[in-house]
Amino acid sequence: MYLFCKRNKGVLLFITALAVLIPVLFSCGGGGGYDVPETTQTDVLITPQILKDWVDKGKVNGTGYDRVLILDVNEFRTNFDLGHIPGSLLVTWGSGAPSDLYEVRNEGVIPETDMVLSGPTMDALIQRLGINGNTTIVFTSATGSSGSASTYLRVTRAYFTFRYWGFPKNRLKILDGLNAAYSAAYPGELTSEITTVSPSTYSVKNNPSFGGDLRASLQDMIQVAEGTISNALIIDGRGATASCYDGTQKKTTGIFPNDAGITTDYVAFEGHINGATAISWGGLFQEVDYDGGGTDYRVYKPEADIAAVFGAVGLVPSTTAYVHCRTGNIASTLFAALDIMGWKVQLYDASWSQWGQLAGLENGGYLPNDSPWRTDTPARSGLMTFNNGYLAAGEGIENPAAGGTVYAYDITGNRIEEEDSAYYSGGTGGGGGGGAPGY
Amino acid sequence: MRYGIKLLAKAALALGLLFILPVHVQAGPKINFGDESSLTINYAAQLYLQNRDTGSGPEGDDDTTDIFFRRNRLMFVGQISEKQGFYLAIQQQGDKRIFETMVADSPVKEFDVLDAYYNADLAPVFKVRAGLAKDQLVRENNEGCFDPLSLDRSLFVYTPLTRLSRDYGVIAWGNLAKSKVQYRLAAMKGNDTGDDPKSSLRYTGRVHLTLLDPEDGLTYSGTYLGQKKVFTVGAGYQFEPDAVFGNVAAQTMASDYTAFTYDLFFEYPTSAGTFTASGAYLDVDFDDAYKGGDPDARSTGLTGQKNGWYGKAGYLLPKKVGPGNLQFFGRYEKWEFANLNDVFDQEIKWIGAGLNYLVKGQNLRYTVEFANTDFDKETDTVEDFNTITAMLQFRF
Repeated sequence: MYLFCKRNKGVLLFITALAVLIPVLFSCGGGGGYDVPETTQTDVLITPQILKDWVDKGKVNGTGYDRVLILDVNEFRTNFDLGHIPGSLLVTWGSGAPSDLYEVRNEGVIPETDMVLSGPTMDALIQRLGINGNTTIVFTSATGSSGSASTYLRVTRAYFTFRYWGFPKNRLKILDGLNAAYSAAYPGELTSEITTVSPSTYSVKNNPSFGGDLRASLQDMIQVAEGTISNALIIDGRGATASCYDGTQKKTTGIFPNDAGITTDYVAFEGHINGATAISWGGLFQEVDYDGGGTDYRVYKPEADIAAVFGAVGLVPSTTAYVHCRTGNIASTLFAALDIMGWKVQLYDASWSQWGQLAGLENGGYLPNDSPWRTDTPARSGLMTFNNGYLAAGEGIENPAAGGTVYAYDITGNRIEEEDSAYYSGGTGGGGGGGAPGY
Repeated sequence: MRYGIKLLAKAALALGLLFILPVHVQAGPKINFGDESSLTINYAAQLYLQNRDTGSGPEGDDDTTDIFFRRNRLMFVGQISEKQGFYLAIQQQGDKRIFETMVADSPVKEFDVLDAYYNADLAPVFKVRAGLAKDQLVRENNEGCFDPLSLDRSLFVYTPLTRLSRDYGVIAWGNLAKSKVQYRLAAMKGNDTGDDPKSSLRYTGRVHLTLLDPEDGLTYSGTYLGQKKVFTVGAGYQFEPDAVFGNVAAQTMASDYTAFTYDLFFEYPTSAGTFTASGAYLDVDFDDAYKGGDPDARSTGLTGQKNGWYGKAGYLLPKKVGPGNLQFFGRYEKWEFANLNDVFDQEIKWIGAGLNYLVKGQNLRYTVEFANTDFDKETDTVEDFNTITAMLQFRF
């Protein structure tokens, strides 16, 4: 035994070292976990009860890593002024008011309204709202007409914008049923009192990632249409019948001011992108009659029902859904539903107001016939009904140059994401190497 | 005759030792200036071929293959006199996309002045280093970059410094009790921006006890390749008052920075081979600044508030395999982060194994390592991944 120990001294010492090291590290080496903000532990869709709990706990516009910011996304200021959840801040959307959530931007070829915010504009918005990295954002809306599902698209568009700019999903909430649900559950709680917050210095560049893969550009959609991006399914959220999708003429109005003498203009053609399917976005919601007096508000259907709606058109979780509508607002309700469920989804931001405009001169559009960005080709569009054959007096085909400059031969149809990715990567956050500083 | 044979034998032995397992021998050109002064130029590089099973493709989850310099370093060692010298290192890294917990969209490269310090060897018990030098707290951070046991040191063992784990300051250190005990005391810059509550220095104290052969320099080795019998236990503490704000925008919640570590290193050559075992625990604390409304970014992330440990083991075969020596290694790590990429209380388990083939010791070395990184909380942007790395290391 002595000789064995002497001859194998090194091995025995090694075993001894391991015998000391392993238990010490495994038992004493755990300093313990860390606290987690309560507001990050819920699903994206929250109930009025959850939000009321946060209000009562003082988290709304509070301090600390569990602070909550309620953003009331509203088309009309008057709706907000009439009554909103205490502590809410107004974010304007859409027509009727200058919009906090849109910009006119060139997706390469042609200008588009209702495009996702650029980096500097997004930073200005979040700084004005006092948002920082430890803020949980709740999207809701004060509705002018209660029970309207169309109010949802304001909120889901805001959700998409913040997801695109890299805000983590666990920091973004949608109040299911919006202000109508909150008011039904807590009568008399809505207020007209205005809240002010201190601006922050936070930037989207500090977010852990950039969500460019949640947004589909013109270039992406052409690749999907032509089949060079596989495992993809295009879904038009406006429904399949009596719609642009089935080629019903004059369904998609223009987005820029009309030319002189034109009262209503339309895109060059209706139809659908090659391979696209369609569902009606209203089918994602169900009515709630809170007090037995008729529909009070709408909420998203249960996840299983929503999965069935998408499943009916052939979508499965492993396939990427490319959702669109006319300007990317209705489609944002589809985007939010799929993103919340953890399915793969991209929002075609410019939607049919862009796709339907990109017709050649020979078909009543404004692009040169040899422009590589024409979408009025059998390889790219599965059904085409050209509106110039159905115009009445005072109607016309929208001229995209009314919104800015047209680049018919642009080398890319992805300029917005390229620009935004460069903006994000120029920061000190996760856009860079993300590595530890030690070498 | 006998004297000549002995002299020849000694010369042969000395010559042979150069080709067996040199550890810290770097044979760069030396320029002498007078009797006492000299300048030695050394070069060392680590070239990686690395594959990660995520990070690329349209959806960002296809494999990523990268080739880059992990370290590409030119070093100048100056001896001013017998007891004074200096050291300067400049380094290029990159161009790389694969990082510790993510793959970047675009390659990143860096070029830096890495180290620049003055050394004064005043007495065995009292030496001084001043300038831009390594942070002295953690053992593995002070193991030589070009003699790690595994592919590299732990990816998660760094303390919060923005200067490539170096800092400006003064280190006083020395060896006591026949080099059985070593102490290190440092006062360095630490956090140093206009967003700090106060402009404070960062203070470090470290001590180790070595029970077998001494480790009497400031730079440890990850493996001595059988040239020493080492059993060292160490501990350190670091402190910087009013280092960060928990709410930078409001300039409130001033928080101190503290960190402590303890570690063990064992290596023993035997006729059956050389066995190595080592581990350390590290706790980095920012007084819960991560709970602030707008916490300083330095209090979160990979080098923010966290605690964890690593354990590693190695076995060097006693005889050569072909022209070189073969060494097997494995390591395991477990770390908890207060806030890592906006995931609170994130835990990472990391396990790796591989082998080193040392043709000329650390001067020419090939390493292959397979590693798995496991996140306790996965999100749509955070998923487990595997990494395979082949490294060519050469030193001159």
